[in-house]
This record gives sequence, C-alpha cells and structure tokens, in this order.
Amino acid sequence: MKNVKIALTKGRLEKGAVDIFEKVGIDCSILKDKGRKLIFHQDQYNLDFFLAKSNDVVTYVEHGVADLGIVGKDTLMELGGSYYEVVDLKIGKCKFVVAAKKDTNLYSGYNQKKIATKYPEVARRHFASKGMDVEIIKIEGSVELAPILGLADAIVDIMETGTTLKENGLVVLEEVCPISARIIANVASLKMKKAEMEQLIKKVQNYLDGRE
Amino acid sequence: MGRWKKSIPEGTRDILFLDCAHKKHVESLLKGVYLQRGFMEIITPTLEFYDIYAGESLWIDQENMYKLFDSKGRILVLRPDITTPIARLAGTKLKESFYPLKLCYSQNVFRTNENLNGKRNEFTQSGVELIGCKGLRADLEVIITAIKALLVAGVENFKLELGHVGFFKGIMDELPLEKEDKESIRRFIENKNFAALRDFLNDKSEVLTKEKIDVLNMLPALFGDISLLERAKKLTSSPTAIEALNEIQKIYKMLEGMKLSKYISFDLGMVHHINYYTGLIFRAYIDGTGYDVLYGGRYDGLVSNFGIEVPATGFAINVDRILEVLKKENYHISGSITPYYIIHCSEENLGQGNELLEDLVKKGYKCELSLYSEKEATIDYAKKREIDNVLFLDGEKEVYRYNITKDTLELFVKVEE
Repeated sequence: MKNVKIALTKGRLEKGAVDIFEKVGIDCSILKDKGRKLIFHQDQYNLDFFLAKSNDVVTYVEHGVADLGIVGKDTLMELGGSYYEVVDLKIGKCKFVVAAKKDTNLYSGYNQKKIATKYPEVARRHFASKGMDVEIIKIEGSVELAPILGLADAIVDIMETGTTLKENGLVVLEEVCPISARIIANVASLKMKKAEMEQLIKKVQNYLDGRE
Repeated sequence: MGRWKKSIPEGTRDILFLDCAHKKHVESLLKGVYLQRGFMEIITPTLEFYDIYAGESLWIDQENMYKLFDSKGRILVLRPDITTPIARLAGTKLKESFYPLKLCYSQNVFRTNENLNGKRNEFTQSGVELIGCKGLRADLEVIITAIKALLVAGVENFKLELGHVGFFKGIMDELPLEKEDKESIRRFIENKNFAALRDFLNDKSEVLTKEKIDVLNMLPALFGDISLLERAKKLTSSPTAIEALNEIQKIYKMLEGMKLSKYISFDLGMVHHINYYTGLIFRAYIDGTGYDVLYGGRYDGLVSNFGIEVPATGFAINVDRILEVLKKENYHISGSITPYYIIHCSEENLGQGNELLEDLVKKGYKCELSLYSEKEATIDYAKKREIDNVLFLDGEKEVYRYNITKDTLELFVKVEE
C-alpha cells in the first residue's frame, strides 16, 4: 500500500475531520496526544498526517508534498490554485456575508464604497459579479472594527452564528455563499496513488451520504 | 537605485555547473528522440506581439504574461508558450510549405505566477508539433514520441493519461442547458469537485432527466485503466462521445501492440482548455512529483487564428520538472564536469602545454591548462576543483603526474624531441 500524506488544517477542522476518519474506521489515536511532533504516522492504512495553517494546506497539496488536504472552502475561494476538490465534509459550516452598520446604503449612490475584509479576492469577485466598483482594504483580524471606526462602509467576512456581528451593531446585508470544510487532492497523486486515495475518499463519502 | 542589484526576479534562477550539465544533457536526449523520428528543430523569438496571444480560444490569461512595449509603443510579450508561435509560423511563413510539418523545439517560456508560491516564472519546454495531419496516425506518432522521450530521458514511473474532448462535448451537446451552466459543469468536472457538481445538478433536476444527472455525476470519477472505456460507452448514446471513445480505444490497441500500453491510463474527466483542444488530449505524471510533466493534444482550431485551416497536434515537456524528479532519484549523467587532468607549466612552455592538452583531449580526457605560475597555487586550485591529476611540464623532457588523492608523483610521459 502506497503511503498517503494528509495535511489537516489546525484547530476546529482538524477535530471535525478526525471525528469523521474515526467513524469510518481510520484509527487516529496518534493525533490525540500530539506533543511537539509535526508528522504522525498511521500504520493501519499507511497514512502520514500533518498539521498546518489553512493557506499552507493548499500550498502543500498543490506541490504534491501532501496528497490530500482538509481545508475550508473560504481558503480555497480566496487562494484559488490547481487541485481536485473531491469531498464536501459538511463540517465547519458557515457563510460569507456582506455586513455593515444598520442603515448603510451600500448599493446606492455614486461614491465608491470601501470594503474591509480578510478575504480580498472573495470580496473583489463578489462585487465584480454585481458590477460594483469598490475599494478593498485588507484587514488581518477583527474585521468588524473597520465599519465601526469608519475605515470602511462594509465588510466581507465569515459568519457562523452572527453573534459577533450583532454585538458590534452590524447587520448582514447580503449572503455571498455557504462555506464548509473540503477534502482536496493533488492532481498527480490522485492518479498515481489511485487505489489508496480512492479507497479513503469513498469511505468518507459513503459515510457522509449515509448520514444525510 | 541599485536596490535589486544583487537579486534575481522571483520565479527565475541561475542554473550552475552540474545542474546545468544535467539540464542540457536531458534536453539533448529529448531532442535526440524528436530528431530521430523526423521532427525538425526550430527557434522562435523570445518576444512576440501580444496580439498572437490575445484570442478567445487561448488558455493563458493576460495577467500571467510578461508584457513590455517596443519602441513604437506596441505591446510585446515574453512568450508564455511555444505552440502559439508555431501556429503563427504555420499560418504565415510555412503556409506554402510541405505538409504535414513535423517541428520540434526546446526553449524557455515565461509566465508570471504569484510571488513566493514556489512556481517558476521561467522554465524550459521541450516538445513537438505535428501540423497538417488529422487522424489516428498523427495522434499516435505524437504519443509514441512523448513516451519515448520520457523513457530516453530516464523517467520510468510515469503514466501518460489519455482523454478526449469529444467525449465531454458529445455528452454536453445533448443537454438542454445554457452556455454558462455548461461552463460551470465543465469546471466542476475539471476540478473533480464532486460535491459542487452534485449540488449544481440537483438544482437542474427540472431540465435534466435523472439518467443524465447520474451520468454527469460520474464524469469526474472516470479515470483509471482501460476497463474504463467499456464502462464509459454504456453511459452515453451520443455519436460524438462514442466516436471519441473508439478513437482512444484504437490508439490504446496500437500502443498495446508496441508494448507501450503499460504507460497508459485514462481520464475522461480531463476537460481543461476545452476551447483550445479539439480531440485527443493527454498529460503525463511521474511518481514523486505533484505536477504534470508533459501535456498535449489535438488543437485543430489554433492555426486558423493565423489564416489557414490546418489540423495540428503536439506536446510540451516541462524539462525543469523532469529534472527535479531525476535529481530525487540520484540521476547521474555519463561524464563529469570535472576535468581529469590539469597541466601546470611555465609561461615559456605554454605552447607545449597546450599541445599536451590537445593530445589528451583527443584521447577523450577532459583537461585544463593551469592559469597559475606557482605550483602550489595550481595544486591548491586542483584540490578545490577536485581535479585529481596535476601534470607538471617544466620544459624538461619528462612530464610528471602528481596524483592528489594518493599523494604520489610519477613519470607520466617523455616529451618527444
């Protein structure tokens, strides 16, 4: 059996993915007690797991040093790139939304609007598809601050429950698209390690289909 | 000013010594295969007018091309591929030439990738184009050449994956869908985005029968070995699609007869650049690298952009990617970049020294003439350069050889009077 390397996005998605793997009979106990190790070998299916930040998961998979990656659709939408997007894990569900202070008139008037976001590419594409010409300002964290402080007219961000927005007096103007975690595959690996990777992907897909 | 004086642009690199020798060697091996099979080498300009790349059917986005202006303000590009300039040649200079034309090349291409993502902005493509010939023989010729080229270069664990634009087009033509919807479906299949494809098709259940939806959902999974083709035939009644499958099958049978079929696999969900390619398409993957190293196919529409209607097919190998794989496998080329001898002599004896050098070179040894007048300096240099044998020619009749590893000095040759 050929070795398959899987890059997991650290944090919430990692837990969700490990849950699913365990449910389909892939023992992930090695990932429970991690210490400072970075790569975890699993004998049963000859897998190597490693943990990375979401953007890096995509980079590793694109270059083929990871065969499979588990990463949020938000990251995929922002980064683009060439890989196969083979499974929607339906975990880590949330939405991209456009939000602003109450009574903001984002869609009218002739002045150019400012949009603050951690996801400039997603924001650019969204407003371009609406034919709107906006100025995009990249913010690294707590994007909600930008409209409150008057830096931007609106934000494009991920919304899970909407609590953060509400607590800061922002309202959703528009939902851009739903997001969830995906399994992505390197284009060459899926062909060169077909048997091993298909087996994994099928297991997970069958489990997800059965749960629906 | 001068801030970047000591840097090179992102995505480019200097290739030195052994790496350079490897690269040139592999390039010449590949070219050897093309030339032996009757392809003729050509060189096209590094700069082309932007216009030749500005067609709708082209697959390279303008933001991925290096652009500059000439002295008249016209837009130029550093060529992002070689196939398009060859199509330009075929449609202009070679219009009245004999056909079919078998051309080959080994040239650098330039593409701007996002910085720091590890992709090259300048790399070498080596490939062939067969212009003016339709049908099985031409497709087969190109595929055999591709397989042979990879084998001769020393690549072994590779798969050449065949697909056919006609299969997808045949199936799609029968669907009552808008152009944009078809493009979405194509994109989902190309990226093997099973989930998105399924959701998208479920939304279309009013216009598509369940049967059709099931078939479309299967397309991204249609890759694997020859058994796939029979399965695929049962999925469609479209004559175009069936014809495409028959074409692939015929090619496979031929390759089987030539004992080359073990390198072949299939992906009927290969639907990239569908406006560019028109028939059989293929790409190759090697074990141990995450990218395709070769891609190609039939592009019967491209040359017509330049004024004449001729069919064409070809492939390009990414030489730099092949080298990365060969390097991982500790690939060694015959010969070395280190000379076997270095000749040390005084200034008066340089003529004699050069004679000795030419004599040794004739016998097949790599040899250099020392640039130092001090023996110690020559030995020092030889050590750094890992040249094992220093020949001392002192104007005496004898030449002595000093072997650095063994630390021995012995008579090498008696110089003729």
